[in-house]
Amino acid sequence: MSKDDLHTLFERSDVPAPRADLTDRILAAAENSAPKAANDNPPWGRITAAITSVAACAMVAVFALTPVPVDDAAWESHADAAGFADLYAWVEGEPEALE
Amino acid sequence: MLAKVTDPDSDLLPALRRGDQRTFKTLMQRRLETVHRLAYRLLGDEFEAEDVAQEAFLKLWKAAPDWQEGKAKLSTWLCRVATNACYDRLRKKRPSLPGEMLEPTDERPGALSLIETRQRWDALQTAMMSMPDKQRTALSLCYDQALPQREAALIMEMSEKAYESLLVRARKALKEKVSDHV
Repeated sequence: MSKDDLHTLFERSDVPAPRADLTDRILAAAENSAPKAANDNPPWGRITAAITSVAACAMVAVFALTPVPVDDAAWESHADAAGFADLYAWVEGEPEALE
Repeated sequence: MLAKVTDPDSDLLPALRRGDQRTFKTLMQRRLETVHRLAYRLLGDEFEAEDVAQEAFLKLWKAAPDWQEGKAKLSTWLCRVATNACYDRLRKKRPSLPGEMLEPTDERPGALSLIETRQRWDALQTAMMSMPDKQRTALSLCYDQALPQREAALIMEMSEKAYESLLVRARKALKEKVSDHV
């Protein structure tokens, strides 16, 4: 079978045509989804992304710049002030002897 | 750098960008049958092919305002979208587990059963449906659409060389299949 035979085979092949109302169906669907110009989109996505990234940077800066206690006494008074004195004592205190 | 593409449908572009429905209808009169034929060759079902054609034209309708002239022909773009939509459908239909051989049935009114669909295939379509999807696409683009290799390769998102060798394999396979079926 040559290339020409394949051409003939495809020409003779019976491919059903689309139904007559397909164009109208597509037009009806298109009517419900009007095209939008590129500059029609409100820039909310970009604004939200910008605000989020600024907020994230600010949070990182706050954590990085907040002074943290450097020695045990400072940590203890920090825990006292925060109301976690008992918890601090339990974590940092002498381990109880196991019975 | 890619050469600028001359589109035979470029006369429709300004009105399509404005969302003119009459122009959209003209484009369908020119290209709907081509897209439907390609989808039918890939899916083997004329009604599913209509769904794919509708999907491709609606995508174009939505993308028209942003269309960049000279990058691709409208018809090439439509065929590429339709081809990818067909591949998606074929992937969903395939059994995902070994032994799971049932294809999902189309429950819509008027939908044909798989057996009824197959009974409507002629010898060529029967042979084509037993071939790999990409070989079917290559053959349809070459023989149904009579597209030059460069354009067919663009639709299939591969190099011209890869398309050429795919087409050689597809021709060989089809000749064997047709002589089996005829």
